[in-house]
This record gives sequence, C-alpha cells and structure tokens, in this order.
Amino acid sequence: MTHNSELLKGSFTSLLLALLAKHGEMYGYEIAKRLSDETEGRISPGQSTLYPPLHQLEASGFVSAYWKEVDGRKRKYYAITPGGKRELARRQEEWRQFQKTLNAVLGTA
Amino acid sequence: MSIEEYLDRMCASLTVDPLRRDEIRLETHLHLRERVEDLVSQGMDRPSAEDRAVTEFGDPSEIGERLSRNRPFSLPRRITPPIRNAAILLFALGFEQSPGLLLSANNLISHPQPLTFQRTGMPILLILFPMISAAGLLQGRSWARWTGALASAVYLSLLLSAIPQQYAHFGDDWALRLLMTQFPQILLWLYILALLLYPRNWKTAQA
Repeated sequence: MTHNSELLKGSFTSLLLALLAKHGEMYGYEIAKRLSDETEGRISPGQSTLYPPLHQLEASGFVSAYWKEVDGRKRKYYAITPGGKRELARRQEEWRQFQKTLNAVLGTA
Repeated sequence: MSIEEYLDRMCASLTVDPLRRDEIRLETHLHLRERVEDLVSQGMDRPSAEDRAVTEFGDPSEIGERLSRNRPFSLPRRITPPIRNAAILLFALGFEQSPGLLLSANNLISHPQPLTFQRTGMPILLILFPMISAAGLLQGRSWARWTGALASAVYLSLLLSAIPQQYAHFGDDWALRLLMTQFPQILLWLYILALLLYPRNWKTAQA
C-alpha cells in the first residue's frame, strides 16, 4: 500500500533529513532508492518530487551539497548539517506530540 | 523523448541564474543516466529504459517551475556575474563619494562650526551605505539586495533632482542637457537597480 500523497507532503523533508542523519552523505538517486527500500516501496518518490524539497533543505542550510567523484562517477552529494540535525530533533519532537494528539482521537475510535 | 530533449525542456522552464541552471541540468542528467543503467541491468533495452526514466521523472516543465519556485528572494550562495557587477558598481559609488567626505572634513577643520548631520552624517552615509551593501552582496547577505536597491534609488533621485540646477546654463534644449549631463550615470544606476531587482539574477530555492 502506498501512502496518501497529501499526508506525505508536510513530512517529506523530515524524511529526507532523517535518512541523511541515519546513512550519512548520499546523492539524489541513492536517496530515492534508499527511501523506497526502507519503506518497502510504500514511499517511492517520483524522481521529480525528490529534488525540489532537497534543494529547499539545501537553501535553508539544513543540508549541505557538494560535488564529488567516487569510482570515476561525478555526483552531487547531500549531507545533513548541524543545523539540520537540530531541525530534525525539533521535528521529531513535534511529530511525537502530533501523533499523541491524533492517537487520542483516532487511535481509540 | 530522449534524455537530452527532456533536459532541454526542463531547462527552458527554469528561471534561475545560468550557473544554477547548469548544475540542475547536470544533476538531473546524471540521475537519469543512472536510472537507465539500472533498468538496462534489469533486462530492459536502452531506448525503452530512456523512455521509462524520463517518464518516471515527471513533466519537465513542471519540475523546472518547481525548482525555480524555491527561494525567490534570497541571495545566491555563489556570486553570479550580475550580482558581482552590481557589487562592484556599488563599491565604485562609495569610492566616488569619498572626495565629498574629505571636503566636508577639510571644511570642518578650516572653518570649525557646530557639527550637524547635514554636514557630517550625510556624506558619511553616502559612502558607507553603498559600500556596506556591496560587501553584503559579495557575502550573499539577504538584506544587501534591498539596501543596494535603496542606495541606487536614493542616488538616482539625487541625480535627477540635481540636473535642473547644475546644468541650467545649457539653456532650454532638454535633449542637449540630458546628453551632456548625468544621462550616463542615470543609465548606470538604472542598470544597477535592474541587476538587483531582476529575479533571474537570484538563485531560487526556498520553501
């Protein structure tokens, strides 16, 4: 089952931050594959939906981006910054509170 | 649609500075190539794999627009040529005003008078304001875009108000007055304003 795109909209950048915090630097294609693998295909971003939020995180300073050549292949890598880690912690806490609130109503229905 | 055609279409709808556009094109190109290689390794023939890769990536115009929507009013991390030019011109303006400050200082020393903002503060501001804006632009500070534009507007209005008084001796021939007076400077300031305010000069990308 894939998730509702409306539900995902607000959380997608948080997922990207969490993935980068967990796995370290990654390039765009790798991030898309990793996200799909980790969610067993339930969240499989269309390739085009990946880059605008990724660039948004870069512009906000939560992610740094740099070009690097690995095994003769040049790629643009993304890595979470200290500010990004703080932002992720803030969003995780926010998510926990939100989840708690929703559970109070939806979880018992 | 081939990958190159796809990239051309996507880039046509990008409204970012040329450096940024080239970077987005290269990143997308590498992504699509990698996807094609993956699909080929799964047994798909290359033309079909290319077709599938670009279809998966989405509508090229739409993604171009989405990537351009990011950060419409913030400064580029890398200094683009138009912004660098604007910064150089602003520095030049501050430098150009320096003799005025020296003159004011000299007058104060030769003919000591009570200090007033008119005689001291204004000349200093006329030097510092554009120079600080220029320094801010070169460091990619977001406020510099607006202070630079404000400095340009202030100088433009000063130039325009000065013309009729300073060049009255040219008579009534307005065209001659315009050409012989501050016309090039006015064009220059309009150019700086355009550099600072035209959105294509700014790297785009923010929520």
